Amino acid sequence: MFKQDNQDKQTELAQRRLFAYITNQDNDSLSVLDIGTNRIIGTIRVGQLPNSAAISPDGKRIYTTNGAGNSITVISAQTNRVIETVKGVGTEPFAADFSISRNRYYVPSFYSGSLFVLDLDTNKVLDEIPVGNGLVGVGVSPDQSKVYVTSVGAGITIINPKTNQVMATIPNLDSWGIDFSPDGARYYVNNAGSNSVSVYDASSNKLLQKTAVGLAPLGIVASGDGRRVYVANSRSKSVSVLDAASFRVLNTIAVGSVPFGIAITPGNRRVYVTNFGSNTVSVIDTAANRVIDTIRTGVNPRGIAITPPRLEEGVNG
Amino acid sequence: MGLAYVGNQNSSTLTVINTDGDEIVKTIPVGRNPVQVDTSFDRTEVLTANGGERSISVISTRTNQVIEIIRNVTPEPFGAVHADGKLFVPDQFTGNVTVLDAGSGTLIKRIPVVTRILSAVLHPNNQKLYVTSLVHNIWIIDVTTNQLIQSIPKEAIWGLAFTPDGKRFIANHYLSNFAAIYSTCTNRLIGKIPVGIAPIGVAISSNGERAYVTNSRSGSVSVIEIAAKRVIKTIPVGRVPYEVALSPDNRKIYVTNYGGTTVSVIDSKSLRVITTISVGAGPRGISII
Repeated sequence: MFKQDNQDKQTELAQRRLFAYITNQDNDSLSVLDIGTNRIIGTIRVGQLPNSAAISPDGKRIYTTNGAGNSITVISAQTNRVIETVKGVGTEPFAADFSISRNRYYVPSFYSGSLFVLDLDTNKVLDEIPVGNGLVGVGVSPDQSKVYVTSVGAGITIINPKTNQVMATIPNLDSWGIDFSPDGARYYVNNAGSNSVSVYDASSNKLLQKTAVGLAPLGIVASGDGRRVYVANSRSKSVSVLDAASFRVLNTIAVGSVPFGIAITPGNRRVYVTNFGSNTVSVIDTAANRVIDTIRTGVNPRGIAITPPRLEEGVNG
Repeated sequence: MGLAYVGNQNSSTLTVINTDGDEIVKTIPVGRNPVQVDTSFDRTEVLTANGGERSISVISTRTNQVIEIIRNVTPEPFGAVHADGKLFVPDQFTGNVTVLDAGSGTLIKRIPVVTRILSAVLHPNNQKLYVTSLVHNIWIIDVTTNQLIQSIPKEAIWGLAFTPDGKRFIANHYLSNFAAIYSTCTNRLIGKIPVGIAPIGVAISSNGERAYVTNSRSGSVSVIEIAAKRVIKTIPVGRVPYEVALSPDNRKIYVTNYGGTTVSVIDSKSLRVITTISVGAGPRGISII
């Protein structure tokens, strides 16, 4: 899938294989999918009902939040082995995101209504910040100066990672997935109940636009080049492709049943979406805006994370 | 003798408790990750909706044995309500209520409703199914025609229970931390009662006088006097209390502590926890016959 113009570059990319990590909620497992071949090369046993997968920005570790295990499984991306199972993260941990500069990761738990702050090296819980009822998502801003927690009840809560204090709460009911423009100027939030995506100005927290998408949008991902935003419409069996500048829907691509998690490759050429109801992952070619492959997974695939761009180089794939 | 059936989501078992002596009679393995526990219309069967297995387990209340497993129901079954010879199975992420023939288990219909369905409760007249959602509205399904007939504009509601005469219902406003009394006929708000944080489960006594509400983030149960529209007591229980049910004689109230491994038993006279029973991990649904 890579177009190389010289041998050196080819060698470099060959050494750096890209993977998608998919949580199979009802197999208590994580599938490792080789993006070069679109084949599943391994399955790792994790905690009970893994509902999300996240990969550290250095690409070294994968984290699954286990909704019924009330735990986090930490996996080495090099060996695909479980390093640790972290407990004490509340009832139904739901998502995870990272701050490399602070050496922390953040996990909201649905029923506890708290954001758990963990140390990336020791996996110890450092803090528990009460946020609100029904927490579902978390996103650390690209400059790592803010942590955003989405919930159905409390809207979007912005936390200062220096003080672990709530800085602001934006009343955006029924929020689900969140992502950012790569420059950090905007953030995008899916409204699962009102079938739309809200675009906010990150400095003023002002709602800039609300765009109608399919039914019950859950997962959202912004392309690393800042041009597109992809939304998984869980009740419409589709993915909406939005232009990040105009925030208009450019395309709606049919995928499997209950598309849930969504992730993009570092070079923005492929989008992977988990079809929770079909036990598959759809692979979308972002140039052609069509599904080019459908891969069988475990039962109820839900979370997905893809090898990130190299920290020092930015986009490479 | 009453029997309480507690679904342990994280152990994939059903604990059967004798409500006279509060001892465990049996632990029955069911499908993976049971969520809601329902009873058949004639109460001879208990149904667990197994969220982690796409299935429903049917247990005989006479023998306390699994007599049937209905498979490939929907990606994440959340409950199985028996009405009009059918089973109504909500699924939170497909947003459908799947209708099965209760005898054969065959698919009759999928009714698209709303995302993040949280509960489905049958009105005492056995004709209307009330469906609640984490995002918005109460959705009413006619169980005879399998049609969605009404949607009542409301913010997110979790648990809902009817008074025995069916004239009123109490709905837990999960996001705003209050329980509300509504007229079933007009859907009009009659009383708004502040409770603890993130109320989930609600049960009403068979004389219609009291309601018990679980406050999932406060770790407590609010006892409401329905006529006075006020909380008369708040009782500390375990972590993330989820569902609540009354013993047949209404003397005891059983609360599943989803964030732990216990059921709290409250005496309805003294309004104190009289015993805490160790069950499986993540006890969630409960039905008492």
